[in-house]
Formats: sequence, structure tokens, C-alpha cells
Amino acid sequence: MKRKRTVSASPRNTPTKPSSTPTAPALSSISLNLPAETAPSNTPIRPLPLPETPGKQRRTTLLHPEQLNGAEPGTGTESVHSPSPQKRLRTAMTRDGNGTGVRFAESVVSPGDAIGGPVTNADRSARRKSVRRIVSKAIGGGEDSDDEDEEDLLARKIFGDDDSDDIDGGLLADEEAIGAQKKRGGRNTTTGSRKKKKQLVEEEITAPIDGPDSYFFQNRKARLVTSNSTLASLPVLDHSSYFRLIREHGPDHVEERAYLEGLHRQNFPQWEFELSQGFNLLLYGYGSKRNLLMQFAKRIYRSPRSLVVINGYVPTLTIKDVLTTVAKAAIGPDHTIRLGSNPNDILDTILSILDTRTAEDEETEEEVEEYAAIPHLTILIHNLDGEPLRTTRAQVLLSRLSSHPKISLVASIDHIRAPLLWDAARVSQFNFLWHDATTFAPYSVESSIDDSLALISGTGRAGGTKGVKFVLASLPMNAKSLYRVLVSHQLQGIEDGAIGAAGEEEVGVEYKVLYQKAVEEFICSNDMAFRTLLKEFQDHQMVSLKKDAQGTDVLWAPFKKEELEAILEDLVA
Amino acid sequence: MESTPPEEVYIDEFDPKEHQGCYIFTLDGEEDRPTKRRKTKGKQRATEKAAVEEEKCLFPVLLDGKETESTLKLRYRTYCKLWEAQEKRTKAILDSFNSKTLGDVSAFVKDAAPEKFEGKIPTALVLAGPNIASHELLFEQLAQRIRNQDRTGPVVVLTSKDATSLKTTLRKLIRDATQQDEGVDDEEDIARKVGGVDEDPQRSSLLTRSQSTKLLNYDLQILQTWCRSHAGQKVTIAIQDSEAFDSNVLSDLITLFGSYLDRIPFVLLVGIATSVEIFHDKLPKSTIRLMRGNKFDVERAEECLAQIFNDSITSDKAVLRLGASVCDFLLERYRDHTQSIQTFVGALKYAYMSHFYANPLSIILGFIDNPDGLGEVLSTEHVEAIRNVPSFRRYVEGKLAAKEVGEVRKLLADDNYVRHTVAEKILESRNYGIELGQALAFLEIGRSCTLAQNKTPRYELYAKALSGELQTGPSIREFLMSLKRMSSTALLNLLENVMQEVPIPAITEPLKPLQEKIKKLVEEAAASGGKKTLISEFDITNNTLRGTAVSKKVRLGEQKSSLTKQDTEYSALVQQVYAIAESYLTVNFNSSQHGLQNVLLHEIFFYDLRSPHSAVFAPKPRSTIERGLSRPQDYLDCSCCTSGDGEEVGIRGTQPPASIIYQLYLESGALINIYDLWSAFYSVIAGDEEEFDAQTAQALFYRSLAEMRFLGFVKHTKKKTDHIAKLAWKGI
Repeated sequence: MKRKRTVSASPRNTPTKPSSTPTAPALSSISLNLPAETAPSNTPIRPLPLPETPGKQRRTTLLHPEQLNGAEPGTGTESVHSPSPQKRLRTAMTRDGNGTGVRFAESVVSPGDAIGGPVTNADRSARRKSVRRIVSKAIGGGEDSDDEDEEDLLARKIFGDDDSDDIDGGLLADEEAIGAQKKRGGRNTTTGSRKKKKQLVEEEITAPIDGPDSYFFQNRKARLVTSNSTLASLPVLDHSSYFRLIREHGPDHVEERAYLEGLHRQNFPQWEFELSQGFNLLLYGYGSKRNLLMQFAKRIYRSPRSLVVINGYVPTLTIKDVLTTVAKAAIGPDHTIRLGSNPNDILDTILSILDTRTAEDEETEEEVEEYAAIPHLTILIHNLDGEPLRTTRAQVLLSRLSSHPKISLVASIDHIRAPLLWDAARVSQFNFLWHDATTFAPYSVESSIDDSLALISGTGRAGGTKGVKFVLASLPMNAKSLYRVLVSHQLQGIEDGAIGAAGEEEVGVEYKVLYQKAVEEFICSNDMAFRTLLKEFQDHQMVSLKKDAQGTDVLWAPFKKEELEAILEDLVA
Repeated sequence: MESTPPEEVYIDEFDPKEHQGCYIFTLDGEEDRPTKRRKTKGKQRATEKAAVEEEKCLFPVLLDGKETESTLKLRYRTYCKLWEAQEKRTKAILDSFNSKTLGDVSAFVKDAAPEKFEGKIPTALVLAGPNIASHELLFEQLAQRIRNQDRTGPVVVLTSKDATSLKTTLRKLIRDATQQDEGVDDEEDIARKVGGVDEDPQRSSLLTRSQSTKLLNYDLQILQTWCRSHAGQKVTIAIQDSEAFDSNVLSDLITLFGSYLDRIPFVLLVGIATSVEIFHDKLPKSTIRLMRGNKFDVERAEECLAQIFNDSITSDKAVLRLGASVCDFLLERYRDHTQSIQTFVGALKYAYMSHFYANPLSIILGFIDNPDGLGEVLSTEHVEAIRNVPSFRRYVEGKLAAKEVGEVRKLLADDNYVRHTVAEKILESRNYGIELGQALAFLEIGRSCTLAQNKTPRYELYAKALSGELQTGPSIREFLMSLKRMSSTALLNLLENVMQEVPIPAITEPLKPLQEKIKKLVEEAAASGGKKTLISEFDITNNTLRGTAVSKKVRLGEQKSSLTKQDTEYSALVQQVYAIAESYLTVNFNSSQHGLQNVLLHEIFFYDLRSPHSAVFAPKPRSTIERGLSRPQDYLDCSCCTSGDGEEVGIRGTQPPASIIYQLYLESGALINIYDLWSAFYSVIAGDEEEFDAQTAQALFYRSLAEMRFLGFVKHTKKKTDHIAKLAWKGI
């Protein structure tokens, strides 16, 4: 029944947007402008403006938040149970689209009912108040006066849907009763419900999983307590078996994804038109957009050298590579122009060449030039928010590049905070049109299992040694010198001990030795100062301290040899 | 809806290019190198040009594929024509807008010399306003102007990005300053390069010296040498975003300029987005003391917006106008977010684009000046589409209500009659927009003359007028009330303005004689009593200091009696003006009779789709991702993840692994134990079937976790072993 694909051959005719996105006017206005939409048969006319996501259209029936909130004991049964990080809660919890607004409104109503005890800062949240309210009611027995009850209802409403899986089946009936009661707006509080309330408080009744409330809820002290299990019991998965398993498992939702992609592909003509009008494109949404973009590239590809592909997720990419490739494409592979050494120069050269070409193209067809600039260049960037492109400098250069009328940019972003990369000036230079291109395709190329492992062990810190550089740049001379001493010692140790084949982590510097060195170099004069300096590094995870077999303290910088060399180079330079 | 066979979508082959940082794209099987470009160039170009001609039209075929080639092309041409015209006008406004500032600043630069400024650096503080996006354009224009028009010498625009340290800044400065000259006097340069003609021995010796002694490329000596060879040239340094500059670099730079001032004639332009005071605070006093100059206010952005808006949407030149909701969206975005005119223009362009891209009837707009030939162009499908337009239906219903049955029958059955009607009516529809614009102009001028303190620009009124709010809102009433109270001077001023700005017979014709009469009255009064301003009898506010009702009444009587004969006559005239204005405004803004809804084919003349604009200009990338992950069925709509009755389903093993992880993640606290997450994940994904391969699940788990990190939801933490930290809370 849900397979809308067969039902509505042209999804354009149902430009519905999920009610959770507050753009209701769209509904009426689309049909208003599209005279032909009502025209005979399923016309493939589309408004340029497709409703954000084709996929969303298929979900035609949307539930109202209150419906979702209503306690449905039936739904509780399907949930799968597991020792999740927290006590797993019923799955059909308050999940009202973007109910944050509503909740806020409600919590605004209730500030008056602070019962019991002085209100401290920590107690600000309306949710907590409501908890307290319920508690006090439950404990104090509660007088069933009408307005009390209303407040109580309100409190419970704020609290969300009070169902917990940990309540055994016997209580389900009770729950149902309460649910019904709530719906009726009934105000006779039975002892049963009171009993339950008590229980609700004892159990982790409900957890908000979105909106600001969830933040406060999940950051409570009690919430931060997690179990002590470690991954030690999990078998180690090596790369080859990982890839084998992934391949063998095969992708899920193949048809649906293909369909989703097909929908995006239908937008290609529109995208192409938008590009031709001097806008740049930016795709966002969950799922790898690589494949999609490559197909789009094939479509817009016209002549050799008219399209440059940049893989922003490749960690070794540098902005200079990007610019030289662009230059190569723009001018020709065998040009003799000196591009300049720094990226800014290269960019200037590229832009000026593109500029001058315009004039000369018109004038003559000179064959004297040893290079020929192309009339138009499209740059395709997978992951404009990729790690190597995240620097301001890179973004500035790219935005300047893309603002040139002869250059178009097609890019994708994945990081949820990617838009923070750009300030107002950048945004206006990029001149992006955003398109939702949720594909659900796995990020098989963009992210790797190593990322996951890095997440666990923490060795591959995001940005590698980049962070270290920033930290060092903000430290006084003394601290820098200390780190230099440490790193150079450690490097020496690695060189010496290479035959010994000891792990890099083992090659550290003894605490006392380092201190001695520091004193000799006038970095610090007493142990106190030394420790203070070290503390800074430890805080930034730039130095690790461990007792070795003999019980002596050993310090080391937790980096690979190459990284250490890079750091040292920076320090000395 | 052809769906690609899955195997094509999920190619599992290893593509070396996937891991290459960047490369030039080629189609499969094509050589990397362009083949023999040079020989076939001419030919290729010809074909390319032809190809360009061919491909130019990127519009899709509409009307269920029945749109003819010619109308398709026509639609595209109409788009190009209309937008080009609009763009040209917009650009002219934008250019003219900066021109005053540009003129002032360039005059300053021309005039500037250290001698005139007590030996200090001549400095122009350009207060460019908070929209940093427009600064770039402004400074570019400034540089262009000074370089090409005034030719006072090289201009170097420095941005904070160039100025990471003093060295790099100077390097860029010198490079830019000395290179730019090549464009100005080419011959000399060539001569110099070749070392040929030696017209100036002194210079050549100078040059040789500078060439022989190797100076570091950030040494201002280079610039000094250059200046000696180019006497009379000033070096203009424009600091685009002074706020973002490192204050040390900036003050060093200025100090350096100060010390070289006797050898290099510097002129400094400082762009300030905030205020002069902040700029003062940024630099040490010693540095400030090195500068002397003026400050230049760039004209305010609101005025620019108002002009562009008036031109593109309310003027009679505009063809396609924006509807109320789009208009609201654009203005709100402008006010609250971007403050950028360029963005506004971009959005306007996008409105044109979407209108012509998707609406087959938009070709009608091409016939606005000359409806001949429209009938031939409209095909049967077009006519059918016209019949489906809501406003056409309303039109027909109106006819039906008026019992013009024959007319209705013809409209519904006779295609030619529809063509004829449309051709006839489009002018009327267009005039609606024009009249509305004029009425708004009248109202705006009227309001600005009467209620000086709360001026509402036309763009604010426009959306209200379209949606019919204006009629009921206070704007008109306020204006009319104050109109009654106007003194003769103010009223004459108002009338004068109206005559100039809104030259339409509907309003000028009845007002003209009144204006004459009032003028005469004023002259009479001046001749007889020496009183220059006549007061309206309705004006009782100007001197009511006493508050009680009785005293007011007394005063009223006094005032009335104190009115001269001319005043009374004047009051009568004011009353007439009032009546004219009132009837004019009510006619134009009455939504029930004169509303947009009643305009035939207003869908074609007014673009009013808000959703495409909000989708492409104000997207919500983060919530899109969150939504995709937390409710995958919204996108996938698969049978396995949706329960039969479309109810909320929660976590299911069949959902994409990343989605499962994300939903578990939503429920967890700020720290997440990976092992626990894993076991929860496993129990979900394995579901009821016991023998789900744990290893596969583990692989999936790792992959999904990696994706979570890639998307920026989690990061590694050292707070506890095998834990990750949560970084994002949904919906915040």
C-alpha cells in the first residue's frame, strides 16, 4: 500500500511535503502556478522547483504530533530489546516531527508550578519541574482539586508520553486507561494512575530524543554514567574480512535507493539549466552523492578539459593540487606559463587568463598562443567540506574561483555543520543553489573503516597534527621549546631503537631526563613550572605519560614518526 | 520512471580515480589529451558554436511532451529577453548607486597629496556598512575607477586573508602595485624588457641598478624605485576589511607607509563595516596620528534595495512580478539574514528562471507589447492549460454568474475564442500590475510627505497590497488622516512630488486644477495678509497643549474663528484632495473588486511559488540529514520499514544500518559506550532470527560508525575507554 511508485506514476502531482516541515503554503501555491498540472494525463511537466526531496513526496499520510504522542500500547510490543547504552526505552516515544516549538510553548506555560524546594539554576527545565511535580503529587498523595489536576496534566504533557517498556504487561491496561483518560481530558485521577506515576518516576519514564530538552536530559549527571564494558570482548576485524563481509552482505534497499537516485536524476536537466545561468550547485542530504554527481558529470561533459573533478575526501589533497589541476584544465596541459608558487598567485594567474581570453576570443583566432583557454570550466567537488578543504584559506580560494563567470561549481557536502565554513561574503561568492540529494548510498569511498577504528582508539585524531600546530602556535616560547626537546628526543629514540622494533609508543623520554634537559635549556627552573608546561600538553593530548616496567615515568608524544618530523620541522622553522 | 538496474548503481569495482585528489574528467575510453587541437581548431570552433546554438535551450518539453519545438524555443527566448532587460536595469541601478561614493573617493584620491595633509598619509575612511558581501564589489569598482578612469596610479586591494603577516602583505602589495602598470603603458614596458630604445638614460640606469641589486621581494625599496620611474603616480592602498585585520600587522603597515611617505606617495582607503570609533580603538594612537583624511558614507543599502525592488517589481517596465509570498520570503531573508542586494537579485533571477522553466504558458509574456501572433502560437494544449488555470476558471464562473452563457460556452468549447480572449486580456492583466505599482508609489510618496517619521518603503507595502491586507491595515488610513491636516506648504510639496513621480492621468488630472487653486490661494493670502502658509481647519493637533475636553472645544472654536477666509477655502480644497486620494486608493487596493484573484491569468504575470525559493536558498541541510537517518522510510518508502498502517515504526532491523545507529544514538547520553552501542545495534539488526552473522553485523556497525563520524555526529573521547562523545542533538 505504501508503494507509491506504482500508484502515482508521476510523483509531481502530489507535491506534498511532510507536515513536519513548516512550509505549508507550498502546497497550495504549487498547484496554483501550475496550470498544466491539472491538464490531461500525468504530464511530466515539473515546476523547476521540485519540492525539496522527491522521496518525501511519497509519504502522503502524515501523522499529527498528537497522534504520535497518543499512548498506543500496541506499538510497544514490536520494539526490540537490548542492553542499549541506556535503558532502552519504548520506541514509540514522543517523536513529533519538530515538536520543539510545541514543547517550548508548553514549558513556557508552566513556570509557575515550582513545587517543593527552592528553584535552583539546575532546575530550570520545565521538564524537570514536571517531574518534580509528579513526584510531589505521587508522594504527597495529592489533593484532587481541579486546577491542581490541570497543572498536573500539563506537567505530564510536558513530560511527554509516559510509557516505559520496563513496565510489565500487567500495567499495560492501566496505561491504556490513562491514555484514554488523557485523550478525553478527563480529570479523575485514579489511584491506579497515581501508583503508576510513582513508578514512572522510579523508572526512567521517558526520554526526549530531540529538541533542546534532549540536550539537557542527556547531559544530566546521572545520564552520563555508562557501563564499563569495553570492546575487548569483541573479536578483531581486519581489513580484508571487513571488506569481504561488507561485499557479501550486499546493500539494503537496493530498489528503493535506485528509485531515489532516479528521482534525483530527473532533476539533471534542471540542474544543468541552473548551472548555465551562473548559479553554482550544492547537494546535501544523507548518503554518498558521489555516484550521482559522476552521472551528472557525464551529462554536462562537453569537451575535453571542460570538467575537473576534485575529491575533497582524499586526505592528501591540497588546495595547491586543486589549483594546478584547474590551471591545467583551463590553459592546457602543455602550457609554459609560470603559475607562481603560492596558491594565491596560481589563482590570480588562472583568473587573469580566463579574463583575457574573453577579449581575444572575439578578436582573432590567433594561433600564436601556445595555450588555449577553454570557454567554460566546470569544477566538480565531492565533499566541499572534506578535511583538506576545511581551512578558511581553501574556502576563500575556491569561492573566488567559483565566482568567476566562466567557472561553474558543483559540489556536495555531508558534514552536518558544513555551512559554518562560510561567512556572508563567501556565501555570496559561492552563489549556491542548494538541492536535497539524499541517496542513502553508503559512503564507501568517502569514509573508511579506519575512521571507525580511529574513533575507537583515537590515534588518528581529526586533523592529524594540525591541531598540534594550532596549540603550539598559541603557546609561549618556553612551551614550544619544551615540546621541541621532547619531540627531537623521541625521534632520536625511534631512530636508535628502530632495530629493536619497539612500538613507537614505547620510545618515550624519561620524565627526569626531560626535566633535566629543560632545565639545561633554561626552559624552566623548577619542577613546578615544568609540570605546568606539561599539563598544557597533556590537556591537548599531545603528551602521554605512563609508568614503564621499572616504574619510571615515561613521556612521549603520541604521534607517528612522520608526524613527529612534521611537528619538529614546524617548531624549528 | 526508469530505474537503473541496481548493478549499475552499486558498482563495486575499484576505481583509481576515486582516491585521486583531483583530475580532469574524461569520459570512459576517451584519451586524456585533446587530440590535435590546433589543426582542427577552426573547424572545431565552428562546430562548437553550432553546438552552443543548438544546446542553448535547456528547457524541458512541457505539456506532457506535446509542447512544440518552436514554442519551447520561444519560451527560452522570452526568458532570455525579459531577464536580460531586467538585469540590465538592475545593473544600471547598482552601478549608479555606488557611483556617488566612487566619485567622491576618486576625487579624494586624485586630490590627495601628503603636503595637503600636513605630511600625513591621506586616508579615506569608507564606511561601507555591515553587508560584507558587497564590500568586495565596492572595492573592485573603486580600484577599477582609479586605475582606468582616473589613472592616478596603481591600486592594491588588501584583504585580511592576504595579510597574515607583514611580510606577505608587503609582498603582495609590491607585486600588485608594480605589475598593474604593465596594463597602463604597454609600450614602455616592452621597450624596457627588450632593452631597446633608451629615451631616458636616467631611468635606464635606475632600472639597471634595481635589477642588479637583488632586493628581497617584500622590500618597499622596489616600490620606491618603481615610483621614481613613474613620477606623478600615487600608490593607492585599499584595505577592504579593516576589522578583520590583525591590528599589529595593520599598524606596522601604516607606520611603514608613514615612513616611506616622502618617497612613495601613498593614499590609503580603509573599508570600515562597523564604525570609525572601533577603527580608532583598534590601532595605537601613534599610528592613528600618522593619518589624515575624510570619511565617506556609502549610500544605504535599503535605498538601493528599494530602487531595485521598485524597478523590478512595481515599475511599469517590469513584466514578470513577484507574488506576495515570494516577496515576503525574499524581503524577510534580506532583512534577517543576508542584507545583501546581490542575493536579492539572484533570487529574483531564480524566480524568472523557475517561471519560464516550468510554466508553458509563460510564453504569453513575450507578447505583452504586441499581442498579434499570440493566437497562432498557442496550441491546443496551451489552450487546455489555460482553461485549467484557476484564474481562468474564476473568470468563467464570473461570466456564468453574470448569465453570459453563450460566452461561457465559447470559452469552454472554442479554442480560437480563448486565444482571442487571452490576447485581448493580457494587456489588462499587465496593467493591473502597473496600476498597483503606481498606486503604491502614490501612497509611498504621500506617506513620506506626511508621516516623515515612520516611512514605510514601497517594498513593504507591496506584499500587503497583493494579499489584500493593505486595504484593512492602518497604512492608508494614517495617510489619509494626516492628509487632511496638511498645511498648504506641505500639501503643495506633496502634490509637486506626486506630479513628478507618478505621472498618471488617473491621479494627476483631478489634482492638477486643485494644485493650481491652492497655489493661487497661497499667493492671495501672501499678498493680503503676509501669511505664507494656510492651515487646514482639520489641523487641530499642532497646538493643543491643553488637555481637558472643554478647553479643547474652546480652542477648537477659537481656532475655527481664527481661520481666515483663505484658510476656509483652502480647507475645502484639502477636502477635495482628500476625496480624490481616498477614492483612488480604495479603488486600487480594494481586494474584493480589484484583487489579484480577479485578474485573468495572474498566475502568469505574478510568480508566487515560495517553496522552490526556500528550498534552494534557505535549506536545512542538517535537519535533512537527521530526518533521513531518523525516519528513513520517509525517503525510502520501503515496505519492510513501514508498518502496514503507516504508523510510526521506530527502530527496525531492516532499516539501513546507519539509521539504526542514529536512532540508538538519539536515545543515548552525551557519552556513548561503543560496546553497548554495538550490542544494542546487534540485537536490533539480528532481530528475531538468531543466526544473523555477528561478523557481518560487526562490519556494518563499523561502517555506520565511520559514517556517523564522517557526518560529524560523534567524535573520539578520552574520558572513558571505548567511548565516543555525542556532538549533535537532534532538532536544536
